Amino acid sequence: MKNAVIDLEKFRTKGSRVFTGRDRGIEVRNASRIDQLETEVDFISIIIPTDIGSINPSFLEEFLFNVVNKLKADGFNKKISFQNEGRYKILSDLNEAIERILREETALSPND
Amino acid sequence: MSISLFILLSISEISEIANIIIAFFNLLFAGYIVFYQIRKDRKDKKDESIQQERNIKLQWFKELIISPNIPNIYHFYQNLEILVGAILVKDLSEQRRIEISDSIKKEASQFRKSFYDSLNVVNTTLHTNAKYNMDTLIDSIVNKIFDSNLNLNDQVLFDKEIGNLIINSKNGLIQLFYTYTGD
Repeated sequence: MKNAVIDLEKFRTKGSRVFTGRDRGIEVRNASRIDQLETEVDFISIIIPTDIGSINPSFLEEFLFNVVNKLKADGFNKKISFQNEGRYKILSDLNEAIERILREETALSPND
Repeated sequence: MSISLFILLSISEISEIANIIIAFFNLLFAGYIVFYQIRKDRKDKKDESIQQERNIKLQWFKELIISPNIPNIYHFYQNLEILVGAILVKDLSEQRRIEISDSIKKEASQFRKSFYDSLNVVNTTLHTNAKYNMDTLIDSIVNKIFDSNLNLNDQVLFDKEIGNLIINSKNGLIQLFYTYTGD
């Protein structure tokens, strides 16, 4: 089993306690190479810095856009996990982002 | 005399030829006007049909999506003001900041599900613009909640830093609907 780790500490803006915004999500998606890693390994662990206060759905929607579209919700939850030792809990923001990504894909699909 | 008759006949012939030419061009011109008018009528009819279709779409958009959700829109912004107002406390703990931020994001998620996701059915660009408006608002508020350099328990600073964000978002959302032409 091949594992990979993405430490969000490496990608946070100095002094900031939040990850917000679509542009930032795209930047971190490219810088972390999460899309490529997903094809190369069996499991990805994403570490959230302990003093983070929020990772907004706008950021997550862009950061995880391709992997969620590819793996769908179940596959994503099996393959990608978040290590979260701080007070902030990502679950509801993550679910919101996944729902938004999958809704967007459904809305853009041509009607059968 | 024979020369002058020749000239007279020539002038008469020339006059007839000129009349024929004028009549020909008149015919061409009349044909052009008829053709142009028919084409214009067809175009006007098509434009009228498009406009009528657009008006029907706008009417449905107003009746099915906007009118029933006007209270929802105002309710969302009022609730948001109340939720964000919780940061008007001195020495806000980290845990409390997280709770306030979570409650704001939850409210935005409910607003998305109950209202602006339905815009996707009408127009994708309209939906995207509403989503970006909302994301910009929530991101800006969350950034400010966790900005330790801001003293947000000061009402004046709060109104300047956060109150204006809410007003601008509400105006921006209303403007989106107001300027939507049904295309």
